[in-house]
Amino acid sequence: VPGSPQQGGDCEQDNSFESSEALYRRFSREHIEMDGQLRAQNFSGLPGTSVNRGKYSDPDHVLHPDCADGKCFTLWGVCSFQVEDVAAQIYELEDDGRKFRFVLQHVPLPTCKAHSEIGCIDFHSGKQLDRLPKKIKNRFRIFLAQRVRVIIEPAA
Amino acid sequence: MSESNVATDTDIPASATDLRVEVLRWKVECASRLQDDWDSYGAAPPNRDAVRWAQRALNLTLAEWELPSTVVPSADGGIALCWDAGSRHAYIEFDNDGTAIVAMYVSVESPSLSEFEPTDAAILLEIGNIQRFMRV
Repeated sequence: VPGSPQQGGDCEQDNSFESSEALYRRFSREHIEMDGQLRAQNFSGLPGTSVNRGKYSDPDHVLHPDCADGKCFTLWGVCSFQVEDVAAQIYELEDDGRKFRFVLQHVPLPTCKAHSEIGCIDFHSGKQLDRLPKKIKNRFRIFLAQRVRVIIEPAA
Repeated sequence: MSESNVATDTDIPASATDLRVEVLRWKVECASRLQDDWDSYGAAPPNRDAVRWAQRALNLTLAEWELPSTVVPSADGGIALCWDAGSRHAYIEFDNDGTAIVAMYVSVESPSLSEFEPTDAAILLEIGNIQRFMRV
């Protein structure tokens, strides 16, 4: 259906991400700064932060109930960043020298094929992490906030 | 507002600063009333401790420091006081786990970060650091 998100159904995971592929996420008006930059507080759930991937969706699909757990977010805005913003950096914790790398995973949902998540792995062991040191989490979400582009302005 | 819904002298903030303080307090209050999963990305609303520390930090700031630009709920569970001045940004975020973090950064540069356990003394120290950073 034109204008609606692609359904995930029982589609297979597609973990092939081009570095220039766009990723989309919705945000509320209060999470945008005076200079147009997004606030880090928009980014939640690291690791496991949800985004829609551009390969399977349009920017406004993150506002569609099918990609928002059945809820309506028509007054929210949409921001975009690229796969390379997530995957290109290695973050080192000064306190103990541990290194972290963020990765993307395609996690299609029944009503939202584009749904994906930002995960994090220990750089040395390659082990998937389910908790992150607070400094790493904040450094990463500030990095994202500094790079995102606002695609759709939230309603005034 | 008084019971008759007519503004009285005591209802009207005395200055622009008083009005800003009122708005910031409302923002804390509004954040405290958010529902679970308010962004449908699974965000928890700030819990009572986080809200209490945010209110406390706001009150401590009023005493002698520049007010935050805004107060926002964190999609990661918690609440943040944010300062913005041109390309300089800083925040104190009180998390639902009872800890806090301060971040200060310029434009797209790497941030300075420090974690702390909230106490009046620690909050005052960090607000002082933020004020110096914002004035550079």
